[in-house]
Amino acid sequence: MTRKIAAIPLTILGGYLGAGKTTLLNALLGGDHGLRLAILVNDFGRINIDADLIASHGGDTVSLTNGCVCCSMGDNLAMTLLELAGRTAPPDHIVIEASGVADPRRVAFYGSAHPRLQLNAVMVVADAETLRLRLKDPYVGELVLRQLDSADLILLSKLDLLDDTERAAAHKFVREVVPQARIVEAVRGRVPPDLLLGMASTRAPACSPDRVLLQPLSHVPSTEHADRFARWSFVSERPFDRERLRATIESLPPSVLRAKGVLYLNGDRAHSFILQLVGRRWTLEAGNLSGEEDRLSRLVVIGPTESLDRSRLTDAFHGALVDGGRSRASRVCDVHGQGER
Amino acid sequence: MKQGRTSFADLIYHGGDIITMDEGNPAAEAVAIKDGTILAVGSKQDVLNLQGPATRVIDLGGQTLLPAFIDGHSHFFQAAMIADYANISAPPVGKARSIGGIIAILKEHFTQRRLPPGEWLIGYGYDGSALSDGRDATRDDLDPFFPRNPVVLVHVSGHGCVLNSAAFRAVGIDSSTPTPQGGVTVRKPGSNEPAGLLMENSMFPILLALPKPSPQLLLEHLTIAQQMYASNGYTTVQDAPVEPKVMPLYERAAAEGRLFLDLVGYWESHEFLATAKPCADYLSLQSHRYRMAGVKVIADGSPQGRTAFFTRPYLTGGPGGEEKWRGDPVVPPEHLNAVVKQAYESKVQVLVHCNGDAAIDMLLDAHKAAGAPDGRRTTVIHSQFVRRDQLALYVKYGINASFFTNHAYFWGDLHVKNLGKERAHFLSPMKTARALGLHMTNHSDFLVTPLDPLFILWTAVNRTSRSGQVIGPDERVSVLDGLKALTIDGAYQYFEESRKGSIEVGKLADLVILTANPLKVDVATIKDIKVTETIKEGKTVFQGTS
Repeated sequence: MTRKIAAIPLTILGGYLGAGKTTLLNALLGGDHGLRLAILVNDFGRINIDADLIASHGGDTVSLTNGCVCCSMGDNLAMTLLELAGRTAPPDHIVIEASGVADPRRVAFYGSAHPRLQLNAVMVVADAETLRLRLKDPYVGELVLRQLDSADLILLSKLDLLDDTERAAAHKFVREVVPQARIVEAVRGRVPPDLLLGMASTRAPACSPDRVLLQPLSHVPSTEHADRFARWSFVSERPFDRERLRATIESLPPSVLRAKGVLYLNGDRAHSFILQLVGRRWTLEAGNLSGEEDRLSRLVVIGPTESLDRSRLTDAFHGALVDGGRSRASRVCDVHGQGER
Repeated sequence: MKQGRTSFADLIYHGGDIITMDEGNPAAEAVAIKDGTILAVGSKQDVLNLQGPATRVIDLGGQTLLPAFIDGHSHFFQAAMIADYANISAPPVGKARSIGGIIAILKEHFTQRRLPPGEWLIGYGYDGSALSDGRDATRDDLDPFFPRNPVVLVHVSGHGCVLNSAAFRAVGIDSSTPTPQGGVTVRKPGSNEPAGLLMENSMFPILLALPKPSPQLLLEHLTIAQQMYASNGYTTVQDAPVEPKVMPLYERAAAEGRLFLDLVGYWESHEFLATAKPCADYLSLQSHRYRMAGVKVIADGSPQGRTAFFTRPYLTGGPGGEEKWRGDPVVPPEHLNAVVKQAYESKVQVLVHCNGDAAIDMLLDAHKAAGAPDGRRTTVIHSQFVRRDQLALYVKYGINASFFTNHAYFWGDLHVKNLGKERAHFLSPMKTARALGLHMTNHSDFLVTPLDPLFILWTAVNRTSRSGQVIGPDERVSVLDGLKALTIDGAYQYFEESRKGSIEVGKLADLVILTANPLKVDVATIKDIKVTETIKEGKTVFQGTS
């Protein structure tokens, strides 16, 4: 399938002072994700770049040997974005650190500022330990609530400082203040890149023998990721019923943090449909067919290992197929971290 | 008569009203100047005794002399940025009443600057809603007059512009360019061709393409910027905050002797914390008329934009339609607290932009948390919607206010709509503040409103909105109090009351000559008074055509 120049995905990282944004950005900068990231921060002061990784440093920009750049935006977010988007070799992904008092939605607005940029997700980091107190602050309480409400995914940090009961209480509390919140546990800033930044579309998932159009990132995740997050994959030769598919996506549980797929709908032989889901926000966009596609619907979901209910997901998506999935032609693969089963 | 040691004066003024702003000697007949300072102030006869063979004696011819105006708050660098731009604002800020009027102003500007083909011609202050034509300007209006120069009319809000064909070509926007999300691209009826007006996200390519003045050009612009201030009677000007990139420019200008006014800068707050430059004596960085006097923090947004931070919600919701909206701080309290603490430890002055009362609460908390030391003259910039109980704390803590009564004119009606009559009418409450004995200045916040200090004085004394409503009649001040906020209280805000702000022996001969005496004219006509001459330490820095 031929594609136009792909838009550069933009991820907004918001959250109040001290929530853990910098820890997360530091982990991304030094991470083994193979992506050429551009990370835009308010100021360099707290970013901890390993001196060995620095390729060059000039003015507002630090370039790393792994292909990432870190830019200090100052007042000039719009200009910095335009400049990055206009490069002949633009970054693979741009992450913007929203200021501690910013409404991430307003920053996300810039995602539409340039035809080469596309908003990928709004992530908000929240400190599990101090959140309750923060929401009661007379100056910033309302602002912090609005930040959480704007998030596609809420990254809950500092959980390693809490015991199991407190951890469960933190989850429950967040769901009380933000109904239907999608929560990701971020321990010491480590969140799998394909959860944070989205799944790339290159190689086949291990379960499918055919030429395919989507796949998880090719690196081997660390043990930490493999333990905490799982991927579930679904492949079907039968197309989906349009209405039942929508209903299924709308009623996905909070444990579905990310989903991506190329899906085929019954009655529409002219298009494939690209599903992009992050947290509570999803889109299903028609893509034109070149005629060479195999019309296999493929879907990958990422969620926390302990709560991702694979059989429920399988039943739900089966039920959205055109014949309710009564035929056994669909194959379900359960890919968990590294390797295959 | 008050007089220094006997010697001949360099310069003597007489023949008009002299408002000294010195409570001990409020009116004088003549002033003598020597070596840039006031030598004598008093009766004509006594002062003329100091006339020597080389003394210049100037007859004011009935005009009024007073201490030069002191800028309570503005953004001096913005004057340097627009130095090459044409003022196409509608009255009272400019003279453009129609599209034809805009073109006439642009043509004059074009001719004066002798712009070669291809060079950008930029106007600022464009407001389509104020034009008698009842429509926005288009490329078809501009092209016949400017076929070979890219023309950009920057909207008064800063969020839009009108382009001519040469400008569209220069930035590569044409019929095939889609309108970005969050942008407005007005197109010709029945066609995709952009007509001229671009707003919001549609104008981002313009931002990138607009020529950036070279450092050399910017240095030259500083002269034009000073002329703008001097022509309005100011001899002390402010830039707060100073962008880190601009500081070397100011230092260079000072070193090269390009400053003929006193320029006082304040650090941007994040930069201040990062640099942590200790400054025990705030005057110690002074160099050839330039000094950094402290730090400026911005705590909230603007009331007209509904981003000022209040304890009670706006009546009209948030800018994005939010309900129960009371604005937000633009910095976390932690940042404000850290800045105030560090500033107090380094003994540098803090200016804090606060429009809403919740932002002011944050500042008062920060002051208290930093130990509430005396004598710091911490100044709240704008302080527009301060509550009475907060004013009492200003008195207790020795906090100054730099008010902004121009808002009564430009946005008074809007504030009544957004905030209700009670809050709106108490905006910039100079009368109450004066009664409490507070030190206060009154400012332009240029570019936000025009520099003209007589207009500022007029709004302080009349508080009339565009629609003619009086926004808070009880807060109208006397002309004298209004003048104090532009002179002696300004000197106090800068810790310079021993050298500036009034015409007294030993103080700098920073003076301004006006066409009429504000204390004597009908208060409604104060804004018609003009500056005819501005003097800095005995030297004329502006001479208008009379």
